[in-house]
Amino acid sequence: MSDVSLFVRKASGLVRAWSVFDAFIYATFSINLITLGLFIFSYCYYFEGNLATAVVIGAIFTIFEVIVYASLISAMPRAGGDYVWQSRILGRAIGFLLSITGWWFILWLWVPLYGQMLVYEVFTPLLGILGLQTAALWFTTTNVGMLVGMLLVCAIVFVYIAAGMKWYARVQKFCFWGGTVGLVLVFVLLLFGNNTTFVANLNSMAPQMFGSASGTDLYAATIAAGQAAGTVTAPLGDFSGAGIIASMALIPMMVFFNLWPNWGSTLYGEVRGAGDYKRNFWGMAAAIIVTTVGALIFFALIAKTLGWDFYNNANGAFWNYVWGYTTEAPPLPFWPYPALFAAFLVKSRFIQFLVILLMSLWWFGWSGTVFLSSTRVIFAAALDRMLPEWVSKIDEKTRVPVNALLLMVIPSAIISYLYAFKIFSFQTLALDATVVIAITFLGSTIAGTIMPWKTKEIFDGSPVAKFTVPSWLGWLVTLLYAVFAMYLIKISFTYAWNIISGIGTTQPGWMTWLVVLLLGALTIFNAGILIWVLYYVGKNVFGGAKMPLVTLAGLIFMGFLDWLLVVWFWDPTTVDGYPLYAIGWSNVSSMFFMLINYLVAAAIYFGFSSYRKKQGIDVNKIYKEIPVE
Amino acid sequence: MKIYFATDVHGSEICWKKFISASKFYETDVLILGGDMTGKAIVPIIAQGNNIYKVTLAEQESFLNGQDEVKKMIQTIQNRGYYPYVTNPDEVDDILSTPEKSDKLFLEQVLLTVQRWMDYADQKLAGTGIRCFVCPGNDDMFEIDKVIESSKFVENVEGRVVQLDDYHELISSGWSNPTPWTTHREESEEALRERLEAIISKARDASNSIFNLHAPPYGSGLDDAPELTKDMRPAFAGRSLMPVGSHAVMDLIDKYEPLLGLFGHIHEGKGTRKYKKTLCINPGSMYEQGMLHGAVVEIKPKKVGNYVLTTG
Repeated sequence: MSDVSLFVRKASGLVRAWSVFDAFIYATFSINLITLGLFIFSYCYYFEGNLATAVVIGAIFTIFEVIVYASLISAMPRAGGDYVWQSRILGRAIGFLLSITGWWFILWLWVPLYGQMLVYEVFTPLLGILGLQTAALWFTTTNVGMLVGMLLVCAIVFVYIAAGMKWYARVQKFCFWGGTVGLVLVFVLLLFGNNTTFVANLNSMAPQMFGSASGTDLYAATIAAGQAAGTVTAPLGDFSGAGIIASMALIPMMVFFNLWPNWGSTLYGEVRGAGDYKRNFWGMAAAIIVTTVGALIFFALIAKTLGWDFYNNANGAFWNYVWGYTTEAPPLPFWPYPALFAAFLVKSRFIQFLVILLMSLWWFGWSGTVFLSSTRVIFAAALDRMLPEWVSKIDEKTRVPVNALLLMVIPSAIISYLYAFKIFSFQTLALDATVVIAITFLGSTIAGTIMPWKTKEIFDGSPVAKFTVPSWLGWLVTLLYAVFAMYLIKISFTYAWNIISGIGTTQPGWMTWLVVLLLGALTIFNAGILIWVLYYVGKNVFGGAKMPLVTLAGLIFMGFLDWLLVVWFWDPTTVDGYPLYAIGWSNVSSMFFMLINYLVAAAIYFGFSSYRKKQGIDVNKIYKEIPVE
Repeated sequence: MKIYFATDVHGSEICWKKFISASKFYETDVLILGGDMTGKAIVPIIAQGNNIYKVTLAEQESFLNGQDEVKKMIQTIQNRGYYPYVTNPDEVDDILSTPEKSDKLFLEQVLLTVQRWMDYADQKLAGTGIRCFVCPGNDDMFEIDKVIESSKFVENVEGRVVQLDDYHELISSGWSNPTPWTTHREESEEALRERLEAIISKARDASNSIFNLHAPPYGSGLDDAPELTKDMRPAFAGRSLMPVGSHAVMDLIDKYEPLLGLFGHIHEGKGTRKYKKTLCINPGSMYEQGMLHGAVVEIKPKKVGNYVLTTG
């Protein structure tokens, strides 16, 4: 009997643990294989690496992210996420800059991306199946159609927010089960279908639904168009050393979809003990594992029935035209949606419609996330008096935070317009949406890494304090981190030097010069951060402290994120003269867009800090610990 | 006049100490604690012989070697809002088999802690001129009221109207509408309305007063708590939030339009909301982490001045 660990009295708030499965559902929606996954896979047609290998390696690193976030949640639950963790551990200015940009401003860019996926995966295929060919193509092939899709995202999310979290949670659960049925149907169709049927049906149905040239072999024509676009089609299952190295280049693309298992993590509520830490961990980790396995199954089934070569070439043909590298329209004028291809394996329009409708639930269950996080950050900033009070006003009748939503909708509409009409090369900025949030996550990862010593009392009183690794492992990981940090510093300086020393020959404009010099300065700053973290952790670990698990995971994930940033920004590899990721130094639009985000955040921070000081509010004390004598 | 308001410290020793120190840190004239001072659990530190003790905190079992480690663990447990209790396996079995002993032990620990807190406050507030008000909440046993009243510098304001300065009165109650846990100071909405009306009626000018009521107004967003399933689990992994505040409080805010409403009770409900001229604040609570959520509010003769929510 004396195994008892706690006597509890009657008091409010004492509840049992939440369902890990529910947490898994929400994490699975955040790393949405059907929306984010298929979308970014389609971008990768020109890479020599293996998609399957990249998905698996990316997922392994994401597990370390899950450990860091589960630990931060356990140590400081209900705190408001990255904003408060960073403010408390790294300082309010860092917390504000990284969270406002990563959880608010950059979501403006996600709206056109959500809109693009809504058009490609929902409107165009459903309308095509219904025989509304003109409407189907209007959405995908015209700028106005695309813009309408993007604006509809705002409208749909507005409804979600008006309905509130209670109803959105229910919608998500329904969508999860409906979407899962749809995905199983797609897998079944691909598993039992064959390539001959697919080719025959594609050639007969695509002309009926989407106006493709009839009487031609669309399958072969698509492969030819893809090859002309420079599609590589790396074979699946290449596990050679060279294949794995080539696949590493794909990982900065893959994180577009699998970096987000922590998206809803701050909502998981009260964490009472290590059991809840494990629930948080498994909710997110299971989502990563299941989604990765799902992706591998999808790849295998696509290869078996559709043809891996066809799938990659269809992507190449489509994007090469959309991005303006050719004026010749692809044989298939719609986005190569594997679920639609699977639906082509049956002739029943009803079943086709049902499959796509069920699969569209992956979009509908996921779409609310685009504004929910940002409205939370807007509210948090307003509570900290860093925004005017009116931004957090809630409409009396509808209980909708109208002004906060307008702060999302208006900039999103402007960026959607720029994106849809391809102004300032906005259509090339898709990966920016990942980069800015990755920088925010880097801030939280550093916060988690140093938390055991920087906020010792909070950490020691938390359920994760007991999770430590053996001393030898702590030393080993610290040494490995040191080696990798030096490697990152070396390659980033090398890339910087190569570009700065060679750029003069290309007669760059002042904007390019500014971007390159700014990146040079950031490279030095980044080296300083890498070394500082090494010093901070090293002095504790080699001073005899046991390395907490969160620090171990933090060092690994930090190295991973930093590597992503180096290759995104310096983008050292080119294919046919084009940079791999095309959002770094060579894309002035991308760099200026991100720079403006941070400048606006800094202006708000310093402007409001100064304004509040004049009002007699010392905002610097908001996150400072009250000293106790 | 500047006030500092915090709530729901639930037995956290460090949060209480921060609360008492907050006036100096934020340069306020008045300290107000909104309720729910007492902790929810006792953590036994069980002697195993040979000066070894076993304790399980946050579902992590530890073995403590010697009194220094025990002292450190006691502090950790107290800062997290639990009551540490050094005991032995026989006594643990005895407590488990006799429910009254558990109740008695809780009462002892709660009263000892509140007494220690009052002693600390009396020591720190003496000579500062800072006024300190506390109002027990729905989770607090009635027995703590007398202990608070024994303090020289901490005033128990439950059911009272206190004149703060020439212009403003503080109207306080820690009672709440019904909860799923049948706690000490909760009652039906009707009874709560009658109770609060009776207190407000004692005020000279309710519209220029501060309502310090534990239960937040229904539907204000300051009362959003995780929806619970029938077996008391957070539904949808805690993502489904629903209003659980008091209709009576909402109606009284609407009726009297006080300058300021200070609320607590719902730890997740951190935020502010304005109804007509009434600024409503729930600073939320993170007592388990030893972080004190609070609000610093400047009160002008006829309006609320600047305010900010803090995480101290």
